[in-house]
This record gives sequence, C-alpha cells and structure tokens, in this order.
Amino acid sequence: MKPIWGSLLGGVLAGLGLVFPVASGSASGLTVFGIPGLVLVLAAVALATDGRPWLATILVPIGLLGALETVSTLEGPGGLGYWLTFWGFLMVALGALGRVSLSERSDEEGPAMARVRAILPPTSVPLVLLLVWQGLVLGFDVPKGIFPSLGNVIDILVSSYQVLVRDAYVTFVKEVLFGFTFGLAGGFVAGVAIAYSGFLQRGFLPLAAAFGAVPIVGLAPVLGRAFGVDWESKAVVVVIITFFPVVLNTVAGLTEVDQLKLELLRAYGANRWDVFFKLRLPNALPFVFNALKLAAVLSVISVIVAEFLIPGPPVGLGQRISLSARRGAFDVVFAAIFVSSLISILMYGLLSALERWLTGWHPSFREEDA
Amino acid sequence: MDGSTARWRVWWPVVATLIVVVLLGYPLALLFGLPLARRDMLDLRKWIKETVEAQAPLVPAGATLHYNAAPAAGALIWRQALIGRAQVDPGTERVPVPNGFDAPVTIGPPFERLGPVLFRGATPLAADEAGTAIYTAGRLQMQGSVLALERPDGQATRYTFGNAGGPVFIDVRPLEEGTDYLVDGDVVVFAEAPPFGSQIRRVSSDYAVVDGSSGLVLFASPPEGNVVLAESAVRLAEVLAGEADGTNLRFRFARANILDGDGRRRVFVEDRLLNPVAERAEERVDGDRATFTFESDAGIVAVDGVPSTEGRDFSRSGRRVTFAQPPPRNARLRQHPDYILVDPEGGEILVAAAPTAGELVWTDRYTFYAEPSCGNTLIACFFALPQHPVPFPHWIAERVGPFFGKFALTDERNVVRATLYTTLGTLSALVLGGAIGILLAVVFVLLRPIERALLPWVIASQTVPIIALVPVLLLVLGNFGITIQTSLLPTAIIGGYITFFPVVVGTVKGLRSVDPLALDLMRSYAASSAQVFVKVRFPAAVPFFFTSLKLGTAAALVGALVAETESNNRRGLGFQILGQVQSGNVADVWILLIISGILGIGLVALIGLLERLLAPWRRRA
Repeated sequence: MKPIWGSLLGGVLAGLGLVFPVASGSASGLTVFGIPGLVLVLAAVALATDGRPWLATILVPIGLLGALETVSTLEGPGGLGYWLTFWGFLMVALGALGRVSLSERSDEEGPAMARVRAILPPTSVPLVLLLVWQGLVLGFDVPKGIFPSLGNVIDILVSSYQVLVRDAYVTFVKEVLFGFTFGLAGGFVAGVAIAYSGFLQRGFLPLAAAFGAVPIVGLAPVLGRAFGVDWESKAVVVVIITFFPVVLNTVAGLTEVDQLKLELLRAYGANRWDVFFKLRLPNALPFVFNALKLAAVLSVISVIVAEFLIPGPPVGLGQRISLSARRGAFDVVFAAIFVSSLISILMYGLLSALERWLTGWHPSFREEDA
Repeated sequence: MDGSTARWRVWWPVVATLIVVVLLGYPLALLFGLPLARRDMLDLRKWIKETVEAQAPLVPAGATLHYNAAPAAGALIWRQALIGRAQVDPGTERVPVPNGFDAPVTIGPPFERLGPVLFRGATPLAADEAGTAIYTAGRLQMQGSVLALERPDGQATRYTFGNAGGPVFIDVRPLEEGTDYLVDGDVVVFAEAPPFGSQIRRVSSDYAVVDGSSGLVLFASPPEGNVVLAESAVRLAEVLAGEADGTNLRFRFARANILDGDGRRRVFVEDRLLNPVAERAEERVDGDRATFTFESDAGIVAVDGVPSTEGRDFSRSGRRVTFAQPPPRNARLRQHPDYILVDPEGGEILVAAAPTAGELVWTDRYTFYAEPSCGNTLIACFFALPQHPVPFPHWIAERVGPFFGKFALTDERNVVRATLYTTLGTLSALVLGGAIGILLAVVFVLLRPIERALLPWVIASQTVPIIALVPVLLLVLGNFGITIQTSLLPTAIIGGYITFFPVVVGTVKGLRSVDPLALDLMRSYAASSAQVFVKVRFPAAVPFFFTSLKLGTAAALVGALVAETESNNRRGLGFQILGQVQSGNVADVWILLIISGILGIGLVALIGLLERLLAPWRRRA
C-alpha cells in the first residue's frame, strides 16, 4: 500500500513540534500536550504509512483531535512547538481527507465506505476551518476586542442564548416571516396579473429590474421615516426584497410553458382556469421556489442591514450586531451572525423540503437523484 | 418610418409605466405624509403657545378718560374692571369690551425718545407685572413679548418666534434690525450667536419692557404722539365660566388646551389670588404607606392628577391625610391648597372651597396652546413637514439641478465624482468576485470531491450577513494598514464575497453544460484535458458566467454602498446617501436612490457589452 505522504509529513512535523517549546521560553510540547499528544502523533504516523482508505478515514478524526488538543492546551502566544504540532495535525487530517475523497473507488469497498466517502469531506472541512480560526487567534494571542476566538463566540452563545433567542424572534418572526409572507403573496398576485397582460409585460418587466437595483441602503432610512423605526419598517424591507424576484419568476414560470402542452389542453377543450391550474401554475412553481430560496437568504441579510440603518428599539439581530460592534464586543457580533446564518439555512432547508414535496415531479429532481 | 414605429411600440409601454410610477408618487406621498402630518398636528408639544395677559383694552368710542385724577393705581382699578363686568363668552377668542365703559387713567411723565422704537422712562418699570401701562396717542398700549422657541446654546444663530413681529432684544439689551439680526418671517437670524442661557425675546404686542430698572421700553412700531406712563389703568380680565352659587367647585377657562403646570397662570376669586403651587407629601410614596403629612391642613388631595374624595378615598385629621387604599408606589401625590387644573384639554379647574354666590372667578394671565405650529389644516401640516418620506415627484425634479450643482467637479462630494467612485468600487468587487468564482468553478469541475466537500459551505457562506461584518472587516484590514480611505480593497472584498457565489454556481453549470458531441469529437482528436478546457468548456461557460455576474452586480453595488457608509472619506454614493439621510434631505436621498438604480442597470448593461466583446459568437440577431 502506498503511504499517505501528506499525512505522514504532518505526523512527523507534529512529532517534531512536541520537542520544541510551546511558547518562547516555556516547556516543550511533550510536557504541555502530554501523553495524549504523543499517542496521537504515533497513531498518525503509523496509520499514514499504510494508506488504505479505511485507515485514512480514521486518520481524519485523529488529525482533528490532535489539532484540537494542541489548541485547547495552549496558554498565551504560541511558539515554534505549537505551530509545528498544530499545522502538522491539520496536515494529517487534510492529507487523509484528500486520500478519502480522491482515491479511486475500488470494487471491494462496501456501501458503508461509500457513505463515509459522501459524508466525511463536507463535515470535516468546516471543522478544519473552525480549527484554523481558533488556532490562529489563540496562537497569535489576538485580543478579544480585535478578533474573537471560536471559544469566545461559543461562550456567548451559551451564556446569552436568551438574549439571542429574543433577538432572533424579533428579526425572524416579526420582521422576516411577516414581510416574506406579504412579499410572496403580493409578488405572486402581481406576477399573475403581469403574465396575463401583454402591456404590463412590456412596460413593467424592464422597470422591475431597475426597481430591484435600488439599493436597500438608501431605501431603508426612507422606509424608517414612513413606517416608524420599530419592526414594521424592516418587515417592509423584506416585502420589497421578496416582491421583485417573485414577480419576475412568476411571470417567467407562467409564460414559458410548453406550446405542445398548451395545444394539447386546447384540443381537450380546456378553459382558461384549467390551463391556469393544470399547466401554468405547476409550471411556475419551480420558478417561484427558486425565487423564494434566493429571497429567503437575501431577506435575512437585508433585514439585518435595515436594522443597521434604522436604529429603533435595541432588539433584533442586526441591532445586536451593530450595537456590539460599536462597543467592540465582536464575540457577540459573531454569535449573532451565527444565529442569523442558522436562520437562513433553516429557511433555505425548509423551502427546499417544501419544494421537493410540492414539485417533486419536476425533472430537476430526477437529475439530482441520478 | 417603419423602424421608428416598431421601436415606439416596444418603448411606449415602458414610458407609460414609468409615467404611472411617477404619478403614483403623489398618492404615495400623501399616504405616507398625512399620518405624519396628523401626528404633528395633534402633538401638543409642537403647538404654538400663547399667553393671555390681562389686557389693557382699546378705549372704546364714547369712553371718558380722567387725567391726573385719583384714584391711585392698585386694587381699586382692578375692582373697577370687575365691576365693569368684563364678561367673557366661553369659547370666543376676544375679550369684548362693554360699551360706555368708564375707565380712569392716570398719566405720568413722558418718555425720553432714544430711537424710532426705543424709549426710556423716568421711573423703574416692572418688566412682566401688569402694573405698567403705557399710554400714547389716545389709547393704552398693550405690553407683550415672547421667548424664542429654541433655547440659545451659544452656537445657533437661527431662532423661531411664534406670533410675534416686533423687534428683538436679548436679556436687557435691545438689538438693531439689519445690523444685529435679520428677520425672515417667524425666523430671526442673528449676526452673532446669542450667548448660552440668555433670554431672546421679541415684541409681540405694542411694546415690551426691555429693562425695567433703567426704564427701557421697545415698541413694535414707531408710536404716534407722546409716550407717557399711565400710572393706573383699567384692566380687563377673563371671567371663568361657571356660576358661583355657593356649591359649584368647577370653573372653566375660555380657551381649551391650557398648558398644564404653567407657573404664570393666575386665578382669582374676587380679588383673592388662588395659590397655584401644589404641596408635596413629607413622606415617600412607597406603595405601603397610607398616611401622609402635608404643609397645610386643607386643599384638594390628588393622586397622579386625579382628585380624591374626602370621606370616601381618604380621611383627614389636620395636616395628616390617611388613605383607605395606599397610593401606588411612586404615584404623584399632591395637595393643591386652592385649586387644581383637572382637565387641561377642556380648561377646567376644580376649586377647593366653593366661592359664595355672586362672587366672580376670573383670571388675568394664563398660557394655552393656540394652534399647531405647522398650521390649522392637515394639508398645511403636510406641506410643513420637515421631511416627507416620499416627496412629491416634482419636488425631486426641482432638486436635481441644485443637487448636481452643489459641489464643483473638483470637490470629492460632487455627485458625478461620487458615482464614479462607487462604480469603481463595484467594478473592483465584480473583478475580485468574478476571479474567485471562476477559480473555484474550475477547481470544482476538475476535482469533483472538492466540490462535494466545499459546495454546501459555499452556499452556507451566503447566509453570513457579510454586510454586518463590515465594521469588523475594516478593523482587521486596518491593522494591516489597508483602510477604506485609501484603498478599494475593503469594498472589493465585501462586494466580491457576495458576487462570487452566483459566479461559482453559474460557471460550474456552464462548464458542465458542454455538448457531449463536442466532447466526443475532442476525444477522437486525442485532445488533452487542458485543450478540452480551453476550446470547449470555457466557451460553453462564458454565457453562464456573464449571466451570473449580472446577477451579482446588484449585490456588489449594495456591498460597495454599505462599505462607503462605514467610511468617513466623504467619497462615494453610500456616504452621500448617509449624509443626506442624516441631514434630512429626503428629496436628495431619492435622487441618490434613482442614481444608484440607474447605476445598477448601467453596470448590468456594461457587463452585457463586455460579453458581446469577449464572446462575439453569442451575438444574436
């Protein structure tokens, strides 16, 4: 078997790191990281020399664990030993990851291995990135006020989750959901009207693109003046953000129907309503869902910007971010950003599930399964 | 002819829709503006306050004046005024003067003329007391001045006065119009900022006493004839509505919306002045205590402005008052020895002791809310709004010229320069985002496993509100010496972060959307994978790339604008928008919004042009 060279090199580097002092003038890595560090290094080197894929899948957690151990035992700025061990362990993980994902698929591997192949890379890459973040911030001993470590952010998530949940409630339930519902309903109705009116299609559609280009940065303060600085004005921002993509996609979906199908329905003597409900609407649904998924992510971002620009009562994730950034509490900023990302991902996921449920017949899903 | 008709046919719906959208601005302006105007109109804090003073009346025709004769100034004159029954009809604004009213006036020494409107009397004059009356040209003059609505902060030079048109004086110093200040309607602009804490007053009636101790008097307009001091004068008073029948405790002012807590208010029963000052309890209202001690042993006890009933709500023994139910914690507990203003909106007072039948309850001075400062009608208030959320479209149009001409081309705040700066920022964001997008797309297409590992996180990256991270990003970059003041890099990073995502997705799709036949052909020519990439995949991906770049343009523009709002280098549209928002020039904000919208479309068109240049094979008829 050919060894995993990347991991092997990483393991050797990590081992070397154990010899050098962790921080300048402090004890060597062996005394700080202790027996677990040594065991992990030895395991990494041993496994890396025999590069069978299933061994590589074990190497990934070993590398990640090693890096985590190195970071978590560090106190103060890192020295040569720290950097060697830290990057060495990460190299172990990355090398093994490369081997898992890039190696040729062999016939004898079972379905379990195939599943590992599918799951391991996407789950471990973010762990690597988070470890790099934590490792760099702790290694350079960056003060909390300039850039927080992952640990600081997690502390905030745990200690002030009640505040964040309340903020998320205001931002998500009051502002995003409300605005999203109205934007969707309004956009769909407008889209249907435009699709059935040649005049509006020629007149409104080119302008819709222009309205879409009006930046929320300028619109938000104006809306704040019109609707007040509480949550209503931010909900209106979401309405606008949602409205235009929904209109454009509804129109596209309702009009770009297969002529053959249209003629078939006509041949069966279908009336307008039949054509609408049996052909145009089903045809439009995938388009609308595309717009909704786009608008979902965009509206969370926009509502946060709107909260930035319309400072009202100090609740909501955007307000939290803006107020915390102003007083240099970047750990709170990142925690709030994490929550808002979570909301976006949840919305996106929910919409995708709904899309799959409602438009599962669409060819785009067939391709995905193949 | 035929071509132009066809072109018109394409364009007229757009033009018509545009016109409708512009016209929609009018109802929208009303829709958003009228509630604000209504709020302004109902907000008592924004009303003009007017003080009714005991007025020296115009001497009616047929009245006789007795010069240099007793009686002396003082109570008698008041009484005479009352005996004259200067009745007030509740609800009317003017004090009617009864016909044939015989009013004696004592004439004092004449005033020394110091200027056209400035006079000095021989004796000290009372500045605010009703004891001074000036008589000239056959009639008694009315004294009155108003304070500026704004408090002087030592810096501002513009001050507004409600209902006053006369000359201005600061503390005891009369000012000269034209040299010391200029008048613009209700607004007075001073050449030199009035000092902090000074009293800026303007003559609102016939004259005002500027400095009582030196006898300085300022007239609104040059008076005719000799100015003399009337040592005693008839004064009229408003009699409060409500019959004194020995039991009635409630009386009403003629004007509604009496200023609550007005220290200048004076109410009399016959010639006895009622005490307007309320007493506080000696004990703290802590929610448990029920017994309180007041200064005096009689009066109206009120909790939070609502009078309590003796016997039912509390019992009294001397100065001590015991409540049946302890008043809530921190409630405003007061004892009003003489009377309490129970209904400021209706102008109703409750008197502690009922005046005996036939006694007059009257006032000679109180302040009331005269009218909304924005005007008496909703429409007037709408036009007077300091900021319209949606201005009338023609207001925006009127601002375009001045707005573009406000700064010279050499100034960084010039709109054209700002637009160019923002364009540059957006383009750099597009270049960075496009480059990273292409790079990632190529890697994804070449190495499928990497796509599998990274694509979910590329999608997740877009859920991070990068715009929220602008302050953090600027701080971090600032540590490396890269500031938004000097470099476009922060803007490019922020915009690029948003732009790269559609580019990745679109380009991957494009690189994969190769005609299988073309791939087979290349394979049969034994082309290397690099050749396949350059000759087949890239050309196939170009339209997808440009389409997704167009998608990212609006986002990149927003990113650039947000980054600019965070900087203070006075460059870019984002800074301009923020500045105009802060200074409340909503019409200018709308102009900037329209410019940004046009810029967005222009950039998309520019990318389309670039596409045609770089991928001419895609050109369609």
